[in-house]
Amino acid sequence: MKVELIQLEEDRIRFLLSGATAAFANGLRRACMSEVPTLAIDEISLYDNTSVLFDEQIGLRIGMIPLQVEDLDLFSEPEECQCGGEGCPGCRVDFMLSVEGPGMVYSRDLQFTDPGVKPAFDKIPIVILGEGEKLVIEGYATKHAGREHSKWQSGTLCGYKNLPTIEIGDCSGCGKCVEVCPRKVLVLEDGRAKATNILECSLCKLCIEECDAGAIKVVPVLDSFVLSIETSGCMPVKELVARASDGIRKRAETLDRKLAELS
Amino acid sequence: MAYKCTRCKKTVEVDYEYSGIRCPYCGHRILMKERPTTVKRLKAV
Amino acid sequence: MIPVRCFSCGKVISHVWEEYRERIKSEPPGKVLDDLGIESYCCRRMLLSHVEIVDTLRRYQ
Repeated sequence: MKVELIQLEEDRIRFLLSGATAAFANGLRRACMSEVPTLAIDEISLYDNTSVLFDEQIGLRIGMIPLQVEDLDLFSEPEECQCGGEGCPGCRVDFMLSVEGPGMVYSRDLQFTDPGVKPAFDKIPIVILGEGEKLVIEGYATKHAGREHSKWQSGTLCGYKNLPTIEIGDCSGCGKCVEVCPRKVLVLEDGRAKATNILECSLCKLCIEECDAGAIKVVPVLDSFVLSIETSGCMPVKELVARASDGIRKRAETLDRKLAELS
Repeated sequence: MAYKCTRCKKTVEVDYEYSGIRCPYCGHRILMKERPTTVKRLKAV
Repeated sequence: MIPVRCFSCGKVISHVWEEYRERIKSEPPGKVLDDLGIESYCCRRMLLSHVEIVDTLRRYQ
């Protein structure tokens, strides 16, 4: 298996995975979306809420805020915690929110007891308070994976496609395919169509339909995949992919061990 | 249970047997239920 | 209030809402969205189609 980096930013990555099966590429995609645990606000206690939003609406909005953690491994999921899920500093991070209007309440107003935890974005509006309106909330965040609820989802837009190849046979140089291509993959060079940035091709096959000579063939490479993964902001995308692949390996090892026990 | 009249903003006790839903101070018939002072716990979902 | 995340993909979009609302007064919305890094059409419709009604609601509190 070979990995080739195409593009890397803080919150998104694109890489070419070759020599793998579709099952593996999809496994990695799914692991990024639903198997990598992160922190999110789980339960809240409302002391006062005179804002225009209902308590439940505020609860949902606060839960959806992604949280950045300095060292995620310090926390464990409540089900696996030594306290047995009752709640202790090892599986909970308490927070406090106390604001009086007028003005907008932002995610940066959330005050966590642990200095290593903070909202991934400062400027997420929670609710706008009018004159004399109050919002006093206390609560805690827990660690879970995306399969539990989408608020714990670390990878948001994760997808893959087969690496395309475009073969051009007897080209007359009419330029119809160049015009019809929505991703501008094809260019006209020396009276012949030529594929340039092949990674952008979405395999839509419009060029095949347009070519009168039937000279174009778009063939996917069956063991190569272009994966694009985006995070919600709770961790850098490099860490997300590393944790996802680590999770796959750990589960494969568990399966291996169980099978060895059986035989 | 405390209610609040939407017109005169006074706290009102509702007498179900005698007057029905009506503010005894101004006669207004729209009352609001006050938010309970207890802490409300809920899942952030 | 603008939803915190995109309904379809889960990307956080609300942190750019205030800047978006200010900038569309003088610029075309499509260009502003490109600038703010809201690329996929599921996220773009979240901002494009949002109508803020909290201030209207407040009058009936």
